[in-house]
Amino acid sequence: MSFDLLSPSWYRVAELRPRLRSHVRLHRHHYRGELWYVLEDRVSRRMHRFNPVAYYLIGLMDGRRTVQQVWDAAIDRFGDDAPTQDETIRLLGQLHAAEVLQTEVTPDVAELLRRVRRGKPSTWMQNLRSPLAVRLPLFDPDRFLERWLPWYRPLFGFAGFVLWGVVVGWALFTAAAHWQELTQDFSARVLAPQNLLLMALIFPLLKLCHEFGHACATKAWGGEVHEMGIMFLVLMPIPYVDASAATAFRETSRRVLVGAAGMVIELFIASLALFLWLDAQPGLFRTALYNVMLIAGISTVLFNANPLLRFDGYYILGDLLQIQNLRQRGQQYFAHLVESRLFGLELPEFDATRWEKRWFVFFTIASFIYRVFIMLAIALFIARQYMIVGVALALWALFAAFILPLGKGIAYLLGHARLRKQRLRAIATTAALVGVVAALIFAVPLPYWTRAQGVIWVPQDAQVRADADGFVRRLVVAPGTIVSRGSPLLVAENAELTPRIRVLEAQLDLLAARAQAERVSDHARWNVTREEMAGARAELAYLRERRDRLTVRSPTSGIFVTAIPPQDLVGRYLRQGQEIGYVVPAAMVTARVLVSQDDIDIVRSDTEAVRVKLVGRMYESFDAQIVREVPAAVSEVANLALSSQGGGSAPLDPRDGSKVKTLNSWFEFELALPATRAFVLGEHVYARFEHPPEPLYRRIYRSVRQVFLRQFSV
Amino acid sequence: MAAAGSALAGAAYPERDEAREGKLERLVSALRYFSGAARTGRQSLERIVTATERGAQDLESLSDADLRERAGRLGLRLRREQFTDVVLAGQAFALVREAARRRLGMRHFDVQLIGGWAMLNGMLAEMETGEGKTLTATLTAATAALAGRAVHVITVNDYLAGRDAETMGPVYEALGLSVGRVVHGQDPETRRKAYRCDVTYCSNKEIAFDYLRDRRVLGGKPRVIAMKVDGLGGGGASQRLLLRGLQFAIVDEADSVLVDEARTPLILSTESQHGMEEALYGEALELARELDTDDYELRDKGVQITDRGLDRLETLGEARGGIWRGPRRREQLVRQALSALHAFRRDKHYLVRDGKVLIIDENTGRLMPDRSWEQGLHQLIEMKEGCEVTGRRETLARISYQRFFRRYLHLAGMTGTAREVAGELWAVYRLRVARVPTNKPGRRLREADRVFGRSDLKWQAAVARIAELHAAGRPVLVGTRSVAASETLAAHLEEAGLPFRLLNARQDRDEAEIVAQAGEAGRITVATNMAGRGTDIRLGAGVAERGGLHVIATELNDSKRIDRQLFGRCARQGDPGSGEAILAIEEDLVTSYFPFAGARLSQRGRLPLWLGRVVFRVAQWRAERAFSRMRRDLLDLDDYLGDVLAFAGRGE
Repeated sequence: MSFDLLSPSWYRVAELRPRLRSHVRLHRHHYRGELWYVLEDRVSRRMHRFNPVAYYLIGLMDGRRTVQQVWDAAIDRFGDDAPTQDETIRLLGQLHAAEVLQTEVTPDVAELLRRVRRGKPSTWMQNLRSPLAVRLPLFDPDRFLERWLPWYRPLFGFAGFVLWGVVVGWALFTAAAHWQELTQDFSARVLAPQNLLLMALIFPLLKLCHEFGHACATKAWGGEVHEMGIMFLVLMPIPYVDASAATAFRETSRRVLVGAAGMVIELFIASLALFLWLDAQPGLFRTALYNVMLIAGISTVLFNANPLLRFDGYYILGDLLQIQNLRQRGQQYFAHLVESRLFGLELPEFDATRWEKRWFVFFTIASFIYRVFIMLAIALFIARQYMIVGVALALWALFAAFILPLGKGIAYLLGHARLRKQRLRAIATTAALVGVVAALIFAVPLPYWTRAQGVIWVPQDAQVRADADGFVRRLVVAPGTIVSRGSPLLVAENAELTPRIRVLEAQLDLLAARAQAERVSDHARWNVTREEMAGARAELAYLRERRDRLTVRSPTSGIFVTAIPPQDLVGRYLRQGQEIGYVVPAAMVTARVLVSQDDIDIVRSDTEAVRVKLVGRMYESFDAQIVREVPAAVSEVANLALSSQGGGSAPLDPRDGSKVKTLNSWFEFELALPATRAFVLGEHVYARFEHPPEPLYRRIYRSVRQVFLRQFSV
Repeated sequence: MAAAGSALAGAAYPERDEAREGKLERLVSALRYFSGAARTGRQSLERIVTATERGAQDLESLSDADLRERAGRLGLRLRREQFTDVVLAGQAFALVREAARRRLGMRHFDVQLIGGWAMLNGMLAEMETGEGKTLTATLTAATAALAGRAVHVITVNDYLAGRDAETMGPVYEALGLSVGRVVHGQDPETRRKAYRCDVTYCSNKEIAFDYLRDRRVLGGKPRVIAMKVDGLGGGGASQRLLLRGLQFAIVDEADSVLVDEARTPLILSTESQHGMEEALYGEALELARELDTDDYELRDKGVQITDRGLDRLETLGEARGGIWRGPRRREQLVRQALSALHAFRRDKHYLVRDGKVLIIDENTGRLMPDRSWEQGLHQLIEMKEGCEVTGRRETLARISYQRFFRRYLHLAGMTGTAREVAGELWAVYRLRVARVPTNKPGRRLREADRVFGRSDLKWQAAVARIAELHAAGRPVLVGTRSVAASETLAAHLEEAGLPFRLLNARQDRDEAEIVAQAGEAGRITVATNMAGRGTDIRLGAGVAERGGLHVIATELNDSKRIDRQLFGRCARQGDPGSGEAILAIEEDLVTSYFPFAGARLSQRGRLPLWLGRVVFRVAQWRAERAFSRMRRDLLDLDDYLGDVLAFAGRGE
């Protein structure tokens, strides 16, 4: 039907003499080598894109020719490629809906009213559907921009480019030089409450500059900017500007630059802030500068430049790829794929090149995942601050993102006219897909493991500690030599111990002699003396043992390493229990691994095997055994290599000066690595605690539960 | 001419603005329907009976002139107040009933009062066949006319319009109301006069076309203002209009008009010169004839060319050159030609009379002499049949019945069969169905149906049954769906040596006479669906004692309602009567809508009744659903076109 050349409705339009309204301008554009015409409605500030055939038709509409004549001309010119009557009618309808068409007939007013009425709720419906991004247009900045045009126009040229390049380049260089200073105590600075307030004040101001960047760029190249307003993004008021006039620019580079202008301005401001910050005295002003850098530098790059969100990056990408409406067409393409491939509808070929289609697939999937992720993150963030509001918002956002499309999908499946002939197949396919996904989630056990980071370190029992107080007299073996278990490592002396032993020995001799005498003469006294001798002997044995313990022996076989430099060791006073060094086992090495609180439960109760990989050699992995686990959570890292500063996973608490206190609690595991090869002490490892395979849903349930437990301390 | 000064004089051409419903409105109305608001209880309708009794107290003693004068006075009150006020309506009904008693010797039964009251309240009165719907309509029509409305009583064909206007005319005249009738072939001036009458009887097609003509006169101009300006100048558009707007309609056989016929849009067209097209069509037919059955597939009512066919066409087209080189136009023309050759069949979809192709209305089995198919199809069929090729019809205006009847300010209807489509009537027209009880208990006997696999077995059984009934001296009415089927049966009957009368699109000249005699003893009448509606078959002498008229359905229709209509021909107004169906699987209904069963059962002998019932029920259900969807689509398409074509003004 839709391929028919003739239309039963043709009689309604055949005799009309249409023409375009005078405020319409046409621009010629090339998108990926294809010719398109962009029609600019200078009153409504809307753009419409037409292909050359449509343009030919539009061009013939001069108010003198009838539609029939226009169409006949197109048939003569394009032959079989000419638009069908239905297509021509649709084009006219499109022009009419765009309010650029004029005919000698009064249009149906009822339709106009309907369209207006339909148009209105659609904005607030849109706001309702995405409560995290509400738009409020406020004023028309065009006259203001016009007045200041001579001031900023020169900036959008070579001079401006050089100036910007020098400033931002220098700033980058400086920032690299002061990296340490810039990043220390980062989270403490950023998350401190007074700083959040400051940030909330600075943010809108910076974004205003950003928007003026777009606006000025548009104006500088001859576009018009007629709408500026406030958008509530995640309840945060953010200014926005309607720079859609840039769509009419013929040069791709200019369209890209208009899109990037906001970021360009922000980076420039961030650079200036950096120079000031370096010279400023500590205080509110300096903190404010720091925040300016943070927002204008980092947030811009993370959010605005990200093409997956519908900010500047998206439009820049669209212009660079020369694919307009990437998101919308991507979604249409997906719907097309589903309908034609899965549901078996006979549809005309989707109007896009191969290259475009690949982008559609990639972009649609990536942006969907990213959007859902961002949305949930935002919702959780709000929920943490304001429990009720946050949860309500999160639920609403989830509803808008999942339930609503789901409902639409079901309504489409059951009721849409397109599916009429294929409805059974569509429902069956969908049910099968849902079944497969459900089976994957609920029935199929998938391998499951917990990852943790750690460091190669000696086992607890390889530590060499002083067993008794005393001064080190000499090292028996030099550090670095191989020792066997029990062989002496160093000898210490205790000045008080030796005389006491001598005294006791003498006393014992005395007592022995006395006992010899009393044995015959006085049996009662002999017994007392023997008691005294036993006591003295016991004390002597104790003291001798202490003396022996002054000789530190190797707890295990391996290489003796001192923790204190050997030259400092001799003559040093050691307290009992003090660490002297390690005897590193030649073969067996252990890794100490930190497991987070979230994972400890499953790691403890359900670990079947542990695999370990070395950071330096990710391609091999080893089996490991759990040797020891610290039963309670620790909040101090035993080794700084485990902290995030040392390259590990545990962030340190920036408020603590001792540098070993972690921000959260961790559980420490000691893993025995295979003896077959040597490891470097202090080397980072990744450990994988393998659990029995289980279906996905249990894992999802567990992580959701953990999130709630953690976020809401429920 | 007693053109009553319109109470709606402010609006020059009153009609309802199209209110497009939003989703919410649709939902609310669906809720209203299911909550029962759309069905009105009998009790509330029965109030009219007492109200009429009260209004009738001293009427019998009045002279005719007094009656007329009283009607005039009541009319003034009706104009001031709501005519849906039960006391006023009761008075009006009493007057109408009195007028009918005096002029026709027929007094409205209570159930007819109920039906009339339901329609006055904008409902669809479902009354059993033979309950006197024509008489019932006078109550509503006269009351609305007295209230100053331009009343259109809309029937399914010109014959009924003429007959009803004639028989009921005296009732209106007795009340001082004028009656007009519009039938095919009248000139505009006659029509205008008829529409100026208080009550106008007309067929649905005539009035819809007249409305389209009016719309063309009005064009896209803002109506009220333009007409007032015209009015000042004298003459002008308002003088050329036919109708007085769409104020009050009573649609007889409402389900047929509002539902069955809603599928095809009405198209007002003129013939234009055919230039090169005739040659093109000829070549298209030649190309189509060169294709084998492997090259195309028949689908519903269209043709799909297979890949193989497309390849062959390409070679053929290249050889011919010219316009045949372009695949789009080539394929479209050939597809149309294939449709003309294979999808449209003589004596089923059309017949050829006096060298002209005439379309047969599939619902009524009647000819539609002034209709033609679009987009060259008509010309292609004319060529196929070797007729003279008419010029291409150029569309001037088009409208669907759905849109047309929705524009009435007040729409009411009556029929014997509405409950199956009550939901759709509500959704599309906001018409509630009120079931009106029968006056006397029905005495229709439905005998056990018989279902065969093969058609020839069916015909044998039917002929045997007809012979048996004929011998018993009972009149038999045999219903068929197509002209061809009726002629097959005729051949069988002739072979069996049974006397019969045949009534179909080809032989419709003595329709009234054939129908009038169909109830006589021993009479055999074979008729297509056209005999279904509106025709009242009176029983001959002594027939009632033998069991009354017997109806045999030899095929089921796409819709159960149409079957019920056929069986409704017997046992009217308390007469005895019986009906049965003798069916075969090898019929269009099953083969098109339940091909699975059609393929497996069509070559069998007699089937168990339960199986036959299941097969036909499924097929009918599918058919009904398909048509209901088509109507919904048409309505949606109209809405969509209305939006897309808004720039072309408010045309039709």
